[in-house]
Amino acid sequence: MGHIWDAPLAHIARSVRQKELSVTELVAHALARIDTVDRRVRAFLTVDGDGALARARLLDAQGTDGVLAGLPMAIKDNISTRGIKTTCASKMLEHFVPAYDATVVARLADAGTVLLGKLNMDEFAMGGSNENSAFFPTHNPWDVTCVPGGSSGGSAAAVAAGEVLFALGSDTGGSIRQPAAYCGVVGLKPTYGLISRYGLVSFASSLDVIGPLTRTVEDAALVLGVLAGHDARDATSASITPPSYVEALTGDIRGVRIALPREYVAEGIDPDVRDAVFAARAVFERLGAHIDEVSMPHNEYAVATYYIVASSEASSNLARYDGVRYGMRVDDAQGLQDMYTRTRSVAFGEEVQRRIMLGTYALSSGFERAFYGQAQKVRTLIAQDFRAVFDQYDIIIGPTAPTAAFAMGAHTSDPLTMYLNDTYSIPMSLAGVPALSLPCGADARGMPVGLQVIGKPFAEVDVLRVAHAFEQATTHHLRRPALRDAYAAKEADA
Amino acid sequence: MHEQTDVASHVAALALLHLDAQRHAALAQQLHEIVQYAHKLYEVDVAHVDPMSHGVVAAVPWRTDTCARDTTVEQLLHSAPAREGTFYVVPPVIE
Repeated sequence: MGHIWDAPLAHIARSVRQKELSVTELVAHALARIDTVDRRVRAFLTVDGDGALARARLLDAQGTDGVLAGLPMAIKDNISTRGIKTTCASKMLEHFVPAYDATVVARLADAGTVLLGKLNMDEFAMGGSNENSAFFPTHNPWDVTCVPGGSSGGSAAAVAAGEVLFALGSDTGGSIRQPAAYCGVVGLKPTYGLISRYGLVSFASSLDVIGPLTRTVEDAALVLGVLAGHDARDATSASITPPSYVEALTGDIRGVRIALPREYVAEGIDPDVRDAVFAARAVFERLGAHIDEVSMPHNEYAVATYYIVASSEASSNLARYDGVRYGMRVDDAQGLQDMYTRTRSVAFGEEVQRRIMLGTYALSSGFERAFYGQAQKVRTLIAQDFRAVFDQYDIIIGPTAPTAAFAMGAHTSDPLTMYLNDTYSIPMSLAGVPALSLPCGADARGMPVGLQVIGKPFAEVDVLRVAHAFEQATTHHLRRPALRDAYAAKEADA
Repeated sequence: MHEQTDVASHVAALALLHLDAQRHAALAQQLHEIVQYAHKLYEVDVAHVDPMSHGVVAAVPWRTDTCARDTTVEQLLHSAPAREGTFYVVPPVIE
């Protein structure tokens, strides 16, 4: 199984469709890997082994012609799955079982995938290290003393450790791209509105998107093709017909105009990360692209803007958790108000409470115009920076994060430092543009470094084509964590 | 310092959160530092700038307002912390 497991998703799905490969074998292989590897990585909150094997046997018996036929995958635990717990890694929803599937879950099922389970994350997607999970932290497969990033840390770690063939995450300010960078996999944040948010538990509704985490750009294009497209159940879903993303992967980027903002490689970036970005620039030039340095002057205000906007929206969205209709409720409450307050105080973790407090402050009487209103206007200027660059360029590149994965516990007592770590991923979320992170090197410790490829709204085709050309011209995506290699060796011995 | 803790108390009450003394002091300090950092937004001249509420400005498509019965009462009440028949149970609203 080892050889086929590492093949492109399109190849594996084709083998399933042609009945050269059994879905049951694929799923059994995945479950065995999870059983071995996840004791150290801890990417999964819920493994639905029985459900996955039953689904696999059904697909084997009935056959499937889906684009993603038979592919075992898993989903971040803030995306609703009917009949399977969806906890958001929070004690508030520890026992919550949704009554419906998210649109993306239904589309993946229609495409023939097999859901293995639900993946760990920072509570309610608030965090960049996975240390804010209310249950346990996920570990980076490249070095288990390091964080996998977040908030989709479980998704990135599961893909990197070879526990799943691909995963879904969500991205509000970098939550797909940063963990993808830290774990050495590909993570795509699509344009806001391209993929339905129906069934995604809301954090910051004007920023939240769902996207794939995969081993290669080609795999990301294949999965995106299944997920993208209008959904009447999401009022912010765009009315567009997605193109064929896989056909865009021509390998030819001659004449593509690429911008590298000076602000993305300025003070504060780790020298190893900066070197990797400059090395990537040289690769693009060798491939025939034209690259210039540009300026995006409002970039330095992105983190402050984001934490006001996102926290304000979060304080509003999380007001629904009151212990009445679903989720946790404290016992022995002395009246309704006491039940609300004590339930929220016991069930929300520290970071979620911090964000709710910040958002409530920003929206409170006398401060709303000063903070939320000001941040909304600065957001306009940040989006205008992108439009100005995209008037002259097709693509923007830069680092995904200022450093590679950091040690667990390094920033837990200093939330502001943790927030500043999002400095290169937040502007794209505020502007709503698509951005993809892919491996572009390693730091001195050997930890993966991510390159971000950013495009115009709904120009995922351009993002994928440029990222794919880079990937094919380099070998960074072929590196695998030692932990995964150890498993493969054990498998070979068996 | 008093002002920081007063603000934190006020905000916690609005947010329906109860903070113990140690947590209250820590959050008050962190909130203060984050808000101080956010003050850098005032460096930006936004005199003639419209606010932006969504990442991509696109017309929201109209759709027919139809009644959908995708879920049953039983499914919706399945996750209720407390129920009686087809009702949610809450503590007394009027003492």
